[in-house]
This record gives sequence, structure tokens and C-alpha cells, in this order.
Amino acid sequence: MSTTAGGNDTPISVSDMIHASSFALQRALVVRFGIDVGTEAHADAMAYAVEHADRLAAMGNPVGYLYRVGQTSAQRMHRWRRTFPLTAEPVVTHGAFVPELQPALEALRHGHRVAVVLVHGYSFSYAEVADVLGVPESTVRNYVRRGLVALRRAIGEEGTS
Amino acid sequence: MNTIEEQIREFARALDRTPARPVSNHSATGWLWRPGPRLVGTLAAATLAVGGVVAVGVAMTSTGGSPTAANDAAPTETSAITTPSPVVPVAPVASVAGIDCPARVVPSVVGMSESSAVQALYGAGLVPAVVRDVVPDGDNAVASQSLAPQTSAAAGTIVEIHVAVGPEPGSATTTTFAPFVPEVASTDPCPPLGQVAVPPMIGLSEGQALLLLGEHGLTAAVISVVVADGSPDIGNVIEQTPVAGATTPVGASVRLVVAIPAQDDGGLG
Repeated sequence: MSTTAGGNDTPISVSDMIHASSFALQRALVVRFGIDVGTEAHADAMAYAVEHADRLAAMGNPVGYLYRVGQTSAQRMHRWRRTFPLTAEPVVTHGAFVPELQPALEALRHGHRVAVVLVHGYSFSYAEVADVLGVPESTVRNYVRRGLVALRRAIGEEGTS
Repeated sequence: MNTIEEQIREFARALDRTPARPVSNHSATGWLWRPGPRLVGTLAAATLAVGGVVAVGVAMTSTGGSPTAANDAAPTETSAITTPSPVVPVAPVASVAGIDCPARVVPSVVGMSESSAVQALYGAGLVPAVVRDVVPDGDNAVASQSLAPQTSAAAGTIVEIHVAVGPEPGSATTTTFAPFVPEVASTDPCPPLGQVAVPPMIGLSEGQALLLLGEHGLTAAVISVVVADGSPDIGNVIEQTPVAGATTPVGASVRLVVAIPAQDDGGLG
């Protein structure tokens, strides 16, 4: 399987694509399951990528599949858990930061949280996030819009947008 | 007050600085991470093909290197995030003063997303400096780059890219992230294009190792192994794959094996 990257015409292999998407995949799993579980879920997904490289090569969206592999791994590991805090302790930042943001993010629906943080926190495009989540781009736009609305409501910023 | 988007961006940077802690039951006995028999055989090929991303294989037979002084915002058990400095891009050690490295070809990144452009520039042995320009119809894509595509530049040259972002109420017109040169030099001053040398991390704390990897443009896959109580290795990296000094693609994942005590529950209760 080959495709093109970044608008160039240079074909890239599925291996290259997985490599290039590892960053987004890791962030998505971390935002979905928290830094601890998400990091290990990403490791599991990458281990799966090694073991099943040929199977992934035949897929239309191998990165989205690996996201689901990580998701399954995390849920199997913690099937008794209903919530996954993003961090064990609230993050510490050096800039102006509303402390209510983190609990508000954790209260979002999973897809909304991943989409919002990947798009606005890491500047991924809607298309990149759509690939990782395995949903249409329009769905990602909806996730982001609804997520931002919920966040503004949670931290009392309705009037600023 | 910053806009919600700025706060999310700030939160994401703080999240990147947060080291992952060992998760319970994710141990050497490993019912969670179970590499199949093919994994061992495919590791070598996969490391070449997929890069260090897939270096989470089981071939962690030998490790090299020794602990080095690293940029250290070492986390503690009680405070995982202590880094006060802003998160900035880090050069993947493409050149060292006094050593001539082959000239790099500047890739064309106009039209790419910011993250793709940054990875492309790192992969070419260059250092991106991102400037976000707020424009009415910003599409979060790179609008321009300071060095023309296909021109030659010395390894480690800073390439300024301007990203057109949409307007945000109350936001500044531009936000600049200065490039950052890592303090820890690679053993290979001139790694191949798109490659970086894996730093030695044996003996470092998990937090130190994660920071060090981040500074080399690499990511981590942390595996915990249970060791005897009282072991001096507890909390530290005891194995790494690939080994120190090996070259791996920028952005690839390095497998770290961290020792945890038997009674550690990973903070999950």
C-alpha cells in the first residue's frame, strides 16, 4: 500500500505512514486514557504494528486501526474502570491557565476531548484527527465545536467567543 | 484571560511534560503486553522499515551506554510536573560545532499542517521555528517558510515557518516558539537524514529519560518490570531498545524498561 503525504506526490509506504502518525496516535491515546494508561496503550499498539505489519498494509486506515488496538488494550487492562484521569495530579503550567480546564476536559466525551486537544492543543488538522479516530472529518468538526462549547460552559467563558 | 484555545494549547504542552508512571499489572510477567512469536523475528526488519516507532519489540537483550547528565526536570513521586520552562521544539542533534555534516536539502512544507511541517523539517536535519500568524481565513496550514524548498542548508539550520491560524478573540497577532538546542550531544554528530542517535538512558529516572527522549525528537514506550524491594534500580530505566548510540527515525518510539517495586500499584489504587 502506498499513499502520499503532505500534499507531495512522493509515495510512502504503510510503515512510513505509521511512523509519521505515531505522534498523533500517542497523543490521541494519552488524551483518551490519560498519560499513564495511554502511553502503555500506545506501546501495545506499536507492538501490534510490528507483529502485524503485513495485515496493516492491506488496510485503508492503519492508523485508525492502531488507535482501536490501543483502545482495546487499555480497556482490557482496566476493564473495571469507568474514568481515566488525564494525569494523576493536576498539570502545572507556567502560563495563565484556568485550573478548571483539566476537570472540564476530563468530563468531556472521549471523542470530543481527543478531537479538541489534538486540534487546538497540538494543531493537528481535522483530516489527521479523523484518520486517527476513524471517523469522518465532519464528525471531527462537530466534536471540536461541541467540545469547545462544553468547555466554555464549564469554565464560564461563554461570553468570550 | 486567555482564550479557551490558548488554554488548551498550554494544557497540551503541560501534558507533554508529564512523565508516564508505571501502570499496575504491566510487568515482566506481562499479561497485558504479550508479544507473539513472530515479533522477535520481525523486530530487526521492522526497526529498519517502520523505524524506532516499532522498537517495542522484545529484543532487549543487551543495552549499552551509561547514565549521562541530562536536562533534568526530574519528577518526584509527589510532583510529577516540575518543568517551569516553556516547551519548545528541540533539534534532533543534526550537527555539532566543529564537525562538518553533509548539507541538508530544505523540504517544501508550505500547505502542510504545523505538526507535519515540524516533523518534515526535523526529518531533514533542520530545526523548525514556528510562527503562528493570526489571519481571518487561517486554515492552520504553513503559509510560508524562510528557506526556499530544495535549497541546501547546513544541518541544524533554523527554518522559520509561518502558520496561518484563524482569529481568536483577544489573542496576540503572532506567537513564536524559539528553537532549542539540546545540551546533551549525540554520539553521532551527523546522523543520516531523518535519523537521530538514541541517547543512553540506562540508570536515569523514568522522568529524566522521557525528557531526554523528547529533546532528541523521540517518543517513549515505557514497560514496567517488577524487581525486588529495595533494589537501587527502582524507578530507573534498566533497559532500552534500541540501544544507546543506535540511529532511529525522528519521532520514533524507544522502548524503556523501568523497574518498579512489587507492591507498586501504579497509583491506580
